[in-house]
Amino acid sequence: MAISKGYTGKILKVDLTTGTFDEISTEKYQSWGGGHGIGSAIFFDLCTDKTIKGTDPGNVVTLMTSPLSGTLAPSVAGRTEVQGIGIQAYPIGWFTRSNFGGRFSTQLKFAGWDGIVLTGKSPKQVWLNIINGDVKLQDAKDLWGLNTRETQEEIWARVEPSKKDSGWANMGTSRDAGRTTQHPAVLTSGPNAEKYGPMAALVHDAGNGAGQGGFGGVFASKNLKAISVVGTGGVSIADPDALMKARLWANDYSFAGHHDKPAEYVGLVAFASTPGRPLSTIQDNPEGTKSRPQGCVGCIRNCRGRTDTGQGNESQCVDFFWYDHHDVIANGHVTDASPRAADAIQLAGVNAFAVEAATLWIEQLYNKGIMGKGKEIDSNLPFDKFGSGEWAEAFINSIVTQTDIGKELCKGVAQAAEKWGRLAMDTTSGILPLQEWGLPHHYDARTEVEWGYGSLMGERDINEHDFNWSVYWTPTINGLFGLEPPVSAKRLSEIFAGKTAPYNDPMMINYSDEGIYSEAMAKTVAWHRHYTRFFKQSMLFCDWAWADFVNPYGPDMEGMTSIGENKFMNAVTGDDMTFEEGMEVGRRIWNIDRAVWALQGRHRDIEVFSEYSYKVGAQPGTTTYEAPYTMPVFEDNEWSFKSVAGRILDRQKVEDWKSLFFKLEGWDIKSGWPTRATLEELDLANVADELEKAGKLGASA
Amino acid sequence: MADLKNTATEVTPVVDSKTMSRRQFMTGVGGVGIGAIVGGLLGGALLLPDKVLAIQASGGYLLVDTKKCAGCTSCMMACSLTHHGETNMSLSRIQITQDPWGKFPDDITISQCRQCPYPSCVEACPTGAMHIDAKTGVRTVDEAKCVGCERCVNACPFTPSRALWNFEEKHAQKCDLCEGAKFWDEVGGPDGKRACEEVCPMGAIKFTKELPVQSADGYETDLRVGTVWKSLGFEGAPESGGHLG
Amino acid sequence: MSETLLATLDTKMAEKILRRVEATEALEAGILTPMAGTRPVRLFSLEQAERFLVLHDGKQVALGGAWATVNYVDPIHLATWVGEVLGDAELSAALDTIASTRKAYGYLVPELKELIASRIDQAKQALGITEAAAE
Repeated sequence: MAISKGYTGKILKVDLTTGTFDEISTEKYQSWGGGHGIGSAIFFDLCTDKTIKGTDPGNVVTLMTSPLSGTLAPSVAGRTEVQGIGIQAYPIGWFTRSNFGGRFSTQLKFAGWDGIVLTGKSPKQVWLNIINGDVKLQDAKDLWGLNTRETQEEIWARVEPSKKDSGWANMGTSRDAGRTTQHPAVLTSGPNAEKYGPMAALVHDAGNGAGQGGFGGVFASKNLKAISVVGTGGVSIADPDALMKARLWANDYSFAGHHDKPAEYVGLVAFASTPGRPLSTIQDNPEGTKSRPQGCVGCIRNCRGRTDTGQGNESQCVDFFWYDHHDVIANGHVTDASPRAADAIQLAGVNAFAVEAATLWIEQLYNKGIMGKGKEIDSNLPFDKFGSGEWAEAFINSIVTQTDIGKELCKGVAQAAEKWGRLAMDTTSGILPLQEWGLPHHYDARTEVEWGYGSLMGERDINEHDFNWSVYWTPTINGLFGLEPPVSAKRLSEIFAGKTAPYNDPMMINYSDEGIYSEAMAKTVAWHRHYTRFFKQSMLFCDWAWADFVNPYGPDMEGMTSIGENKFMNAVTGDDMTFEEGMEVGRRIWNIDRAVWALQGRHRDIEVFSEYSYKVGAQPGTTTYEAPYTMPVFEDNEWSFKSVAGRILDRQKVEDWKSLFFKLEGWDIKSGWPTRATLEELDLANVADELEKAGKLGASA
Repeated sequence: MADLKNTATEVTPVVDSKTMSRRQFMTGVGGVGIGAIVGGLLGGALLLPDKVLAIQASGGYLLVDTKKCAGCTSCMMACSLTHHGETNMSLSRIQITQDPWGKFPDDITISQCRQCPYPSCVEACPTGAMHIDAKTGVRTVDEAKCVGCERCVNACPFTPSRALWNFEEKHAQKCDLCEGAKFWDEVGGPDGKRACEEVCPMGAIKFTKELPVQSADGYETDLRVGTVWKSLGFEGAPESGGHLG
Repeated sequence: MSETLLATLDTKMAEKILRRVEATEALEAGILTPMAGTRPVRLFSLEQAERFLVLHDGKQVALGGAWATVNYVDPIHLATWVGEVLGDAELSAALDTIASTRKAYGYLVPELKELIASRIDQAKQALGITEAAAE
């Protein structure tokens, strides 16, 4: 069978140790879909010892696109999935993933590649230069200490031949070698990123970052500074007319179809939101700043912006939020400290979530007199200027230069806390908000359990907002003002039930004190793991637009999810995959990931939240203060929205829930390891063999 | 922008009521151009009395508002998709270029074909491949006649050139307002739909049949008026978080 | 300024309730940004707390305008802080009475804000601080 449309058909394998290149046939891995699925499968095949550290030359790193990359599928085309053994999580650097937007995946497809696989370690500092089929490793000694912008602009200058008078750059000597007006897409780490690896992100353009996992540090450990790619080819589409029509159909579900109807645009949903929502660019720049919305390739939402000062360009959400509130408290309103802080992390290539948690904690330590000049944790950071741009830049600089408190924080937040003897204490009181695997607390496991369970059963903060908009934000904000949410709790349960095949259980969004430990919640987490593994991380539908459950422009407030995803996929590939089939591929991917974690040392005994989750509610006085937290609950045979703020988790009930979850997934309840029966059902006998050899195969039920 | 050499300011619009009835025409007066044009190179030109050369105006124009553009390049992919059945930015007849670190509004340039009143690309073509469509006035390419000399590409007064070399199929091409969008089951052209306009999520591209007013920076186009744009805050951020004192 | 029902303050008490508290005694609150997250903030004085209580347009926030944030402080926690940290038991009890009505936050804020503002005004009068002098 020939490979479906949408794929280029080949994956670039780079052996950094020998400096040689190879091609992997995409067709061999097509059953995994793309992105994460293919990445996991290739990792499993090529990484022979999966128990190594992320900085070991044996680590295999994949950067994968999807058949939808570089196409008109809305809010999909620009994302790239990054995988490999990470160096951020604690105590074990799990095989993990990150993901970034922009233009990289599109240029990679246009250059003729479905992905890149990096193996080994280069004997000298290099960058990878891809111009269509022409691939080279080039000397990066003079790039190594540059920040992310300097690196990218320098690479542009080296790759782009002087443009002809016509403004089209020829990408070869022949006139038919291909032309483009586009800059190469460059993905790079910050300056000397091996020295702050666990905190180091990969950055592309001004504001696209793959932060989680410390992949900037993993790149640097391989002596790889950056990857540049530019392509002049295209992505062949099975049914161009169907794709155009699908895109225009989707416009009706988004702002794009409603420019001129101000009364109809709606905030607290993803796909239908106005451009720039949440408007970080506007909210986090000084008064009067003019800007535009700005988006990744093919986006229908365009959630970031660029400003008339150039500050804060393309940053979004936590890129600003790690610091903007400190700015506001210090200065009374947003000043240029906020965009300066955003630019500081982008230029240095530092993980925004990690510094957000670290900054909250540091502020507490300073206020308690534990950190500061001559204090228990000595620091000369200008704390009298906390909230200023100067402090933010000094703090980020301390990490990048491994000076002051950065001497420890460069090794990771949990790692620094351990070094300072505070890890257990501060994650018990909750002032150090690391909720799972030593990684920053995001949405709260105590209240919005699908987020916490998903992160715990997986390997990182899931950062997937599929349920979050509808089950938390909408009822919470409306509830604060005594407004009835546009969709009632009962109707919400019906909408979710209708779109969550194969489970389709209305109780899946029951966040009551009983519901969070129920079998239905196990289905929620399983569905979410499988959906995101396939549709969002393999097909690369963007988290900031998908899933589309509730949509004010859809029939009866229903969004496109369960219909839209496959409409786009099939128009591009020419296949006729159903939503349910996609979910099943997601389950398969989730299982191979789980198998790798088992090999790395995962066991249900270590799958526990940080202590504060069981001991302290998210009440005022903790840094993880998220109250109110109004969610749908089913109590006394009735659906309603109710505040569940302040809830703590019951340790035994969490354990019981884990058993329900493992049973549902067909895993061994005692260990949480996948069983042979489940793996073979998913055509993963080879995975079962490897687990068995390592003594990590789950016992059959 | 210094790339503007050929604008409506150089020509005078006239309507010849006798020979051209209601169709709008643009005229070029005197000079070398007439000889060359009368020599038959300009497909849609007609010689009028008193040595006034009338060039058939395009049946319409694409207006773009760069301040509204989000740089998502969906228009580029829609263009190549509907014309070539693949998403390929190098084959797109509209080009978006941008600088991620640039300052708004100069960080993005939209390069769409202006359907020039006096089209240098048409004039430069030695075979008549690049021509003015008699029915619609759209400046377009008869691919079969193209010999690949790229004179049209080099003649375009704009940068990047709006006429482009299709290095896959080996012919020149340019925006035809989707008259030739054969992979899209819609009627294109001035009286139909344009893929880039339809697909743009920002509403930053609009079609008009009126000759737009041009400035050195391009068309003077504000597609934000009459929309919700102003309420979204892009034209000046409000003071934010200013409640803490 | 509405008439306060609270007993008058002597200068010592007025100074006490208008003081800037230590960092460890700060009032924890949060800026909620729909679709983004809650950013914890600490407030160091009664005046800062009063300014933090912003009269948001709920509909506007729910629709998600450019400035769709909510300054949130738990009303009960606020009442407790005023009593235990600032030492104003009377104001604390009055705030608690409002908070205990369990109305939606958006409806509580105007009442809480007005009451605190009147108490600040009262304290300033006791200290002879006029608006002009304050500026």
